[in-house]
Amino acid sequence: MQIPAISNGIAGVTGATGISSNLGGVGSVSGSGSGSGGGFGSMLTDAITSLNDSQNTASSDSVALATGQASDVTSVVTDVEKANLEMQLAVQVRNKAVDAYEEIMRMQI
Amino acid sequence: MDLFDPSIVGIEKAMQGSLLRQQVLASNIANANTPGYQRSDVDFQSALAQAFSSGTPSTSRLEQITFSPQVAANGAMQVDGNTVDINTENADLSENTLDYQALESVMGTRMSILKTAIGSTS
Amino acid sequence: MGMFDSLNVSASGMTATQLWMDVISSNLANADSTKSANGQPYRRKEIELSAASPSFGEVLGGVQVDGIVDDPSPLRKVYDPGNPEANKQGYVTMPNVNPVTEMVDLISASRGYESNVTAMNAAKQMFSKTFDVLR
Repeated sequence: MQIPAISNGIAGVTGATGISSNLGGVGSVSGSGSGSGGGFGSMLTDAITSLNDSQNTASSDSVALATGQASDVTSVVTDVEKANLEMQLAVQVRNKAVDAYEEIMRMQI
Repeated sequence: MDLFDPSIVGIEKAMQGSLLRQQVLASNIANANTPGYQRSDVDFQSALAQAFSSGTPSTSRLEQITFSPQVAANGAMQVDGNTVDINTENADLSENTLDYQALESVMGTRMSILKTAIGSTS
Repeated sequence: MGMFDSLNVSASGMTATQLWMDVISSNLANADSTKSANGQPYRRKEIELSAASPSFGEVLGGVQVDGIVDDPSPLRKVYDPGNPEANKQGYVTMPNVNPVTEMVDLISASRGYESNVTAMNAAKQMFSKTFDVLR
């Protein structure tokens, strides 16, 4: 499923993942971090994968409903609502990660 | 830039088909006592299933699908040749209304997903 | 397909079934009328329906009432020599109304009316739900 708007959203989150991996690297070099930077990065990657899966499920469920092959209307409606919430979560996480990045870049060394 | 993937266009076409079906069912019910009247129906779901059967179609291909009422006897027949059974029509009408509501609900949610992705706050 | 054509179709169905119920009520009320306006015993009335051709924008048309006609079936003869209406052989000519048939027709007409109302409500609900997508 190619939706450029969503791909851009995912790219934004991926960019933030790259940044947090770098931050995690800095933390482990100084020894004061507990490696939580790398854990956060992989958590973001998992979140993106789960978001993509939920969007694909919503898309195929929509097709099933339109063609009359949906076995269970309840599952269709809840899957689409889950996709909605995952998308909102992803956008909020992206926003917070970008804010954190900007905050750090503003720091005077 | 293609913002709307085929599944969203599919839902839109299904909603159109459902509205057409509602009108055809209303005609059947209005003519439930007209002698010799043959009932019609609109099978929008199989037209869409056909379009989606061999992989995902393009949005332009989907937009070209049209629905039309077909004479569709369902085994009921009255003495004067009328093929409308009021019970079946009522059941079909309820089913169609619920179909439409499910489609409309899914459409609304998917639109708000797109709005979230775009960053619109309305 | 216009937005409100479905409502017009259902409205025509409601009008037709309502008129049918009026005819049935008239039949039931006059089931024993041995004299009507023209001096003859009351003849059972029937309603003639036909499918209306679709008007502009409609996919299929509604229903139209072609007219109210007399039922041509023969009048009943009841043996009742004491009745002032009796003829020389003692038979009274009664209307050809069978109350059982009329009651069955009344049930059909009233169910038809309810179904048309349901169809109209379904159309209204669908149209008003469509506007919710915008929210």
